[in-house]
Amino acid sequence: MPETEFVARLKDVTKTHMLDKVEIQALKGITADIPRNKFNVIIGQSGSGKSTLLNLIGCIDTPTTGSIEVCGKDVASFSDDEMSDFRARHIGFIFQTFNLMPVFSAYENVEYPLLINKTPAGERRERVLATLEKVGLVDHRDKFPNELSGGQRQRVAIARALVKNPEMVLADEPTANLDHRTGTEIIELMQNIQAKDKTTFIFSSHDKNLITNAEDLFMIMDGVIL
Amino acid sequence: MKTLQIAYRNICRNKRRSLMTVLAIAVSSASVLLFGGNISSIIYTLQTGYVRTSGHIHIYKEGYSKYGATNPSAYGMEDYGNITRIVDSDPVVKPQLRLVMPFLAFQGIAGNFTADTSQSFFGMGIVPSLFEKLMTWDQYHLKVTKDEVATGLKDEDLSGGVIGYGMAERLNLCGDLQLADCAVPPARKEPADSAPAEDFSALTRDDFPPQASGKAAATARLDLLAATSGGAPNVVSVNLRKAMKMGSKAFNEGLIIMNLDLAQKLISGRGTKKVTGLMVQLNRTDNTELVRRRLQQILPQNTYEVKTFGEVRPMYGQTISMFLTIFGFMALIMGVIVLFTTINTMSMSVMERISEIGTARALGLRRSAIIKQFVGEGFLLGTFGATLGVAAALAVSFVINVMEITWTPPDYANPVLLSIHMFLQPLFLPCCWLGLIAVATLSSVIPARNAARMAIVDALRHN
Repeated sequence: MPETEFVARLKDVTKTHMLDKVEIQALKGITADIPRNKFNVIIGQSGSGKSTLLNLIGCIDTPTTGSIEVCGKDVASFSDDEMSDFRARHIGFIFQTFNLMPVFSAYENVEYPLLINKTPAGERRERVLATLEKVGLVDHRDKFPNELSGGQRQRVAIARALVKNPEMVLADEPTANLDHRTGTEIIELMQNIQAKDKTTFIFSSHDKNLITNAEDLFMIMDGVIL
Repeated sequence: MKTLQIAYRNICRNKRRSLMTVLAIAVSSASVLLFGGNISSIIYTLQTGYVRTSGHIHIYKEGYSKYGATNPSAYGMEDYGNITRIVDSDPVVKPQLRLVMPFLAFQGIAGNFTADTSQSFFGMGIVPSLFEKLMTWDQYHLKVTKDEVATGLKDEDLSGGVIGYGMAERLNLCGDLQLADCAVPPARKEPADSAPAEDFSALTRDDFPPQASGKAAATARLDLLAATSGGAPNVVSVNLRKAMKMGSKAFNEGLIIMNLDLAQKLISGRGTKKVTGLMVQLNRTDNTELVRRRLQQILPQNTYEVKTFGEVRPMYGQTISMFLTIFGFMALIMGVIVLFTTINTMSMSVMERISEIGTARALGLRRSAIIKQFVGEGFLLGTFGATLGVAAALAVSFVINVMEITWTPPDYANPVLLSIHMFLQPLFLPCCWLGLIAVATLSSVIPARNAARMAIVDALRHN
């Protein structure tokens, strides 16, 4: 994969949803370049289109019009399997509701992306333990999600996103389900990891107060980047 | 392996629902196996009964099966000794052969004049030693009835015979044959002036003088009247050694088995001794067709006809067809139950895990892997259910077989054992087991495909 200055480039991207029989235009011709190796933040109110934008960058949705280049690839031409493989290799996700697999322990949740990538067992174990160490949960590795606090669950989710060394990590309002103190801790953790590993983070939030050290800030309102 | 491990954990999430699904599959599996095992047992019992009484193959004079019933003397075999030697010495037939026995089937009237009773009968002349061997054939190691069956006749006992139990009751032979549980007909009131009835037993006195009295063994004499092959009436006496439960009601109430010599004396008189045909019993039923083809090759062309027991007794094939149809219908219903139960369970599971499906897809899991995951769960449910069903069926069949429960089949005079044998057809149990697993696995494909087709963003939104 050729190393470019931008991890994602969007040109005249629109996205229209159908809600029952009503057409809703979530994104209205967005053009943006998301820089590599930065802690990027997309700020916007609820319904402003930030989640839709993250979904398009994360290759889990396709634009209605316009083009998107992710990690130097025009993903519009990918088949569904190619898109899955691309996500498995290059993109990590952190969700607002953690989205951990309830039947997996913390260790297994972190290991899951490596299983999808068919990483050899020895390397898998090494990387899972190292990543759990990074988020401070190595002692909780055998616990299941229902045995962990909200903050711990989100740390597991962060570890799951980071374990495969993705080119970028997308975090869609990762603190929305956490109290203020835990949310701040989570953001600090992500910022620390980013500063240390130079992983590209694209972080969305509707709360401006939570964002202190954003290197690149994208403001979105009514489907348009300001 | 990891897929099945994950599948196992997922089906354990809703234990009650999974347990109900497994139980539904288990009940279906056990029902199919028990019913199939019982049908299998009935079919093989039926086969064993036919082979024990008439062998696998009959050799008749050409045309007997079409016209022999109306003119048996014209279709009798004279050179049966020679044919027996041909069959016995053939290098292809010999290894498969258990025995060849000549037999003479005929009809007549039997009279017990000491009790003033008589009735028509089916007569069967046999070679006692061969007939005893015929009746011990047991390819499937089946216990058909609680009691062992043997005629007790000897080759040298030329006037000996056995009679159907029901016929013995009708002819008022219960006391003479010392029969237990025997229905004795009510005593008739004779008119005071009636003279003693003349009987035709005097005609036989020269041939078989009355035996000395005071014997310990139960015995009774019957006088048999039949038409000879020349059309003249003839009479012989048979000394009954035993009354046997014959299975079929018609035989039980009308069959007399006797030494072939006696039967030939009755039917052939002083003429050439003939038999109706030859019974050929093989070691294994599986070789019947092979031996039949061989016999058709080695016997003189257009002189003899070779019939299998299925052709001689078409009811055998008809019974199998009937039971297989019923079994197929039942298996279909059970399959449909498993199908809908699994579809329902897997659909519920998909509905409950939409968000997880979206997450897994976002992490890079392919659609095919999602399908594999849910199909794996269906496979495990099917495997657990079918295996539990096999275990339950084995336990129930063991108990039923040990209890020796009896039942009386239609048109049977006597009860037979209700047994369940699931291993007589070696592929039956594994096929049922695999079949139900396949149904459960395949029925999870539809919910799995629905799960895999979900739009990732819609699935992730479903929290």
